[in-house]
Amino acid sequence: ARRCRLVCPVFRRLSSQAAQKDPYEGSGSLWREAGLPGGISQPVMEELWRADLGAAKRGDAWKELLLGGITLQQRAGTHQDFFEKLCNQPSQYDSAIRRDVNRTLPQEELFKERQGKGQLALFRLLRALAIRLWDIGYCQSLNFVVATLIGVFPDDETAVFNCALALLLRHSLVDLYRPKFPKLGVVVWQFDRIVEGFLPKVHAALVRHGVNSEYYAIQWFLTLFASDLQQDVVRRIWDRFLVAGWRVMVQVGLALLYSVQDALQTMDTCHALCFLKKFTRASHYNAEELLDKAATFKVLMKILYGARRRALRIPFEDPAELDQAAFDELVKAEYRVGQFDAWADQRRKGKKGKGKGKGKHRSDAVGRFAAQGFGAAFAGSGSRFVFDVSSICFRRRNRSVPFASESEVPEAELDETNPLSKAFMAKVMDKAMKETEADMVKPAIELPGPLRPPAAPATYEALTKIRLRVAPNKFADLVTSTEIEKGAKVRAVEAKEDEDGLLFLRADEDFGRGWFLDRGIAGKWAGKRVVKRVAGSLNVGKNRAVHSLSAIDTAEVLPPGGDPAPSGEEQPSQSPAERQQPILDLLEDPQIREVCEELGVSVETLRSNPGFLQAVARRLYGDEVVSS
Amino acid sequence: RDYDHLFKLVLIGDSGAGKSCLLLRFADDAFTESYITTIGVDFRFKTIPVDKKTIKLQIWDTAGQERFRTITSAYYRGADGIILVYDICDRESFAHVDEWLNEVNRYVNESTCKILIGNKCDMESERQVSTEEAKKKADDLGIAYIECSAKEATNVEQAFQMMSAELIEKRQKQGAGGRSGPSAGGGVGLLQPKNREAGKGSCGGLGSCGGGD
Repeated sequence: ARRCRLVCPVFRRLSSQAAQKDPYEGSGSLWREAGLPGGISQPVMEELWRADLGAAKRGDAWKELLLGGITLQQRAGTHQDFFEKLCNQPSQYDSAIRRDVNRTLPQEELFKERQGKGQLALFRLLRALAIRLWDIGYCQSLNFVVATLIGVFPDDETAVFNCALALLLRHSLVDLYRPKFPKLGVVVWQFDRIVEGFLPKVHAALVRHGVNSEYYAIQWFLTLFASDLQQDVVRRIWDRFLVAGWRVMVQVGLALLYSVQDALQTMDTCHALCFLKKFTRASHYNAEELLDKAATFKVLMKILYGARRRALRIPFEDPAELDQAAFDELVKAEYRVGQFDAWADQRRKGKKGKGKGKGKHRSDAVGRFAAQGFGAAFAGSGSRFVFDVSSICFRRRNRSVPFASESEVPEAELDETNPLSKAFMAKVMDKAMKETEADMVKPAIELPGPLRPPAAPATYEALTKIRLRVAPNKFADLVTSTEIEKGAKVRAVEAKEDEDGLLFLRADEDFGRGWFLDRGIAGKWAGKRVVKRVAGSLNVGKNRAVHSLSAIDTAEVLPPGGDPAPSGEEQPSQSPAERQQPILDLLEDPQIREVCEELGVSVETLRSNPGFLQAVARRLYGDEVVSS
Repeated sequence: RDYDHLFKLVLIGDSGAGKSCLLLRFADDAFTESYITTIGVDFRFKTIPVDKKTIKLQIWDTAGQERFRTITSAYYRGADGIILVYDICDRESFAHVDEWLNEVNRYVNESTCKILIGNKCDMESERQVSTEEAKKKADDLGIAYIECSAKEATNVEQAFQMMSAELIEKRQKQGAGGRSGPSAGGGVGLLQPKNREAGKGSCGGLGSCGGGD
């Protein structure tokens, strides 16, 4: 993360924004700053992925995965105190919570008894969370999430509390529950597109009945399946979720739909609607079979990404109904995601080219950057348009997790109609991209492209021998007196792009103020960069003007003999008349008048010809005094 | 077609008022103490005979917590009838009746059939809202009122019968040509493009929408 902070000024800006807007007054960023635990031992993750570890071991593994790499002693003494303090404070959600504690997992022994151990613990925990996550308070469906955690840590409420916080904050799930459900819209839309891609039969049936996942899957996502499946299955799903992230949820959703895809075909709408809401509760799934099936759906990060990005274009409310400010905010948010995705893509590609060693760090940085910079910035601002960047973190971790069944599909079975095949996926992505282009309304506001420092002034290092030209034109004559040797540092004082987009840089006096191209135009260097920018060279030396609009007198800041005007745009914003005023004032000088009379030139003529006047003045007072 | 009319009904009301239990009683004639919080929306259908006609009721059971209105409001669209449930042992849920009606009127036709149900009338000892008060309220609002108990199956069937009879009457008034209700699931899908104008503000759109398509 530190490296990332150095690399990316955008990150710095965003994270400082996030810090300002942290709704939990800084304590939320404690979790986010920790990111997702990095150094989890491989065996723990693999074991957790593969099999049911049983109660005790699972608790340890979950704690490690959720709380790893974070110390919680910062506030309010020990965190035991923290929880105990909160759970004894009254909250405005108490009555709502009380109503729900005996409507949560009633099939479980632990929660069966009214006012029993489980229900009391659930009440205390939901109350503490409602106070802690004050902008969410209590949202129905959190009761199932917390109850599932209680099932794993039945005797340790503090652990449940911390794990619940970690689950919500570190895995960026909070936005699922914030008022207006900012992330739910994205998740639902994403899932619909993925169903369309993987289970076309189901999709067709759903379209026929006029429903989407918003209708049947909201509680899957909000409770992470805890309200719909048996607890033993839920725990196994969460095992994998903690290892591999949101895609596990999507995969399980697909597996569940897959199990009913034939049944759905024959039903009429009424039956189908009813059935979709009920079937998960009515059937008993074998956890391992379900997970195996789920893992056969290759929900690649690429797909989640694509769907997410497209989902973002459609906020929970119709964009047409948003007010201008909210709409602009949406467009900007989306724009930033686009930039980020492009950046991440670039990093990924770069990684492939440069071998594994380097890439690994890069992708770490990407993950951290994503989880903290973007997630935090937008989640922190309470924006409705929130995206799931935490998933990127998992890319890094997934590499080492054995998705065995994914790779076991024999090549022969893969063809365009098989959802597991590359060809099929390519088709889906292709279709998605086309749709994207067709559907998309161009943003109403134009945003500047990615920040790039100006090409000059800056210092460059020559990667090869470079010859200079007398003018910024590729047909201009070559300078014969000097050339830039390989490895030499050259200060570019001016940059110009010709109509073909070729970038010409002007060297300083050291190289006779000749022009050179930043790329080669022929031979083996054709199209390749021939200069490398020297880092941190944007800041010019001590004695030079830093800002083109600085108030410093040009005569003092220009190097001796330098061109008085580096470029037209960078001139101080004075009108010509204003600039000439000091010279015209000279006309009031009696000495000048004397000279004029000697030469037989009228003062009026001089007034209308300041250039000449300047020459005269220079003669009279010397170069140092008269500058422009 | 195995029915004469199809109606879409939506159950609304505060969390814990007993919407899901009412529906369970009506659809499956069952009651359970161990039910779970409704997240988003639940769905049942039942075919009942009313006045020699076969009526198919599609009932949408919505989540009661206030913040879920963002989601559930989409389900009101195209509803033929709204069943507003409050808990007679919980004055607050009764106090929210106006709020619920305002909310629902933003999305449905003013003339959509509405009924007010006071649930849990078996728990007389804990009653906080008197029958008279509730009746007066319903009269003021111009909607029907009935007290039920999902637990003891009191008046549940009757409430739905009442609603259906009224809906049939309305539909017949509208013209014999009126087909069954809205196409099922027409209101689903917040994220799908849909005709917002019809849903918002203007009153005429939906009734005819349901009958005409």
